[in-house]
This record gives sequence, structure tokens and C-alpha cells, in this order.
Amino acid sequence: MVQAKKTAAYRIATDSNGDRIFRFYCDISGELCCVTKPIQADTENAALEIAWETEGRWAFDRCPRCGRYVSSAMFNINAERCLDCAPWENEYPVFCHHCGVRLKDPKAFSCPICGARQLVGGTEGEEGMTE
Amino acid sequence: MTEYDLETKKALRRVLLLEYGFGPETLRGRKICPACGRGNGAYRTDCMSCGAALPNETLYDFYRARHRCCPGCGVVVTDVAVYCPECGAHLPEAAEQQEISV
Repeated sequence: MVQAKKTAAYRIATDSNGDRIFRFYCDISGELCCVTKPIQADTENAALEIAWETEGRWAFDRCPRCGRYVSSAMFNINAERCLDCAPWENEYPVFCHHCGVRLKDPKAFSCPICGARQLVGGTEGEEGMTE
Repeated sequence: MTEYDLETKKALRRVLLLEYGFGPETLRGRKICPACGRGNGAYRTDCMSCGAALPNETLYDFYRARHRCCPGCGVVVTDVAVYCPECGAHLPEAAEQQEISV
């Protein structure tokens, strides 16, 4: 089971007033997605919670499969998963990925020959076949 | 659907994804600074934020390195694909391809 992550990867800096500034990074690519304003709080955990709830989380997409927080560039909006769990698939495939036949209708949901679903939407070992 | 309609739909979809920061075109157009993590345009050689040298690889190269790719046209394919949906080439088994790349 995937351990639910509370926040994206982050680093903390402290300004001259002792307030904490959080930098949140994409869990896959390491891209800096959010730099918070200085946050005043008694503990680091309290500051992190404020930083994440008020600013950080809005800069990320959460993958429901692996629980990671990723930048929009590393998120497959069609499959609603991160790119590690669901790589981009051509929405208008030319060939069936299962039997290799040339598709006459590039918008077809499934292959007319073998019945394979054309957009797999993730790689969890499904065969891509219709039920 | 005519070829013209299909190409128009594809182009519109690409623009829409790019507009919202999603999709392969976004990955192709971005490099990540290894020092500060800031996203930079793929055309840049140094980070606009910290000045560190940027790698030649874009985010798309990083993405491709994490997935199975068609040996014919290079497009990323899912683990369950037997044939490439772009060029129709027969794909090597996922494990077989991993051995080749090692």
C-alpha cells in the first residue's frame, strides 16, 4: 500500500526575522513549483502546515495511484495520474497497440479487430482488452 | 473524419495542453536547473534564476528515460503495448528492452 505523502518535497530557508520560507519541488522531476512567503510559526511542523495549505498544494497535482505531488508538466491530465504511472498516449492512434492493425477511425475507443481499448490510461498490467 | 479535421483537432489539443502546462510539448520546451530546480526554456544554456549551467537534456528526455520507447520512432509507449501506436513497429518485450538499455 502506498504511504500517503503529506506534502511535496521541500526545503526550508530562514529570513532575517527568523520566519521560514518553504520551497516545494515536484516529486518526480525536482522542478521548483512554489516559493512561499515568509511564515511565522512556533514550530517547523506548524509552519510547514501553513505553507502547504495556504500556498504549496495549489501548485501541484496529486497522483491518486502513487500519492506523489507533481508539477503539471509531469501529470497526465487525460489519465489523471502522474507520468510515471501513466505515460502520455496519442489520443488519435494510427495503429492498434495490441494487434498492430492500422485503425481506420483514429477516434475509436477500441480496436475493431481485437477489441483492445486504445487508451490504456496507466500501466498496471491491464491487457487493454474490453470486458 | 478527414485528414484535415484530424490534423486540426490534434493541433488544437496540443495548444490547449501547452496553454495549461501539460503534455509532451511542455516537456520538450523545458529544462530544470540542477542547482535550484527552477524551470527554464529549452533554448537556454544557463539558469535564468541562479546562473548555473543547464544540462542539454530537456524534461522530455528525462521523461523518455523513465519509460519504454519505440525503437522505430522513439515515442513513449505503455508497458502493455505490443505494437507502436504511432508507427506500427512490433515492440520488444518490456524486460527485453530493459536489458538492451542496461
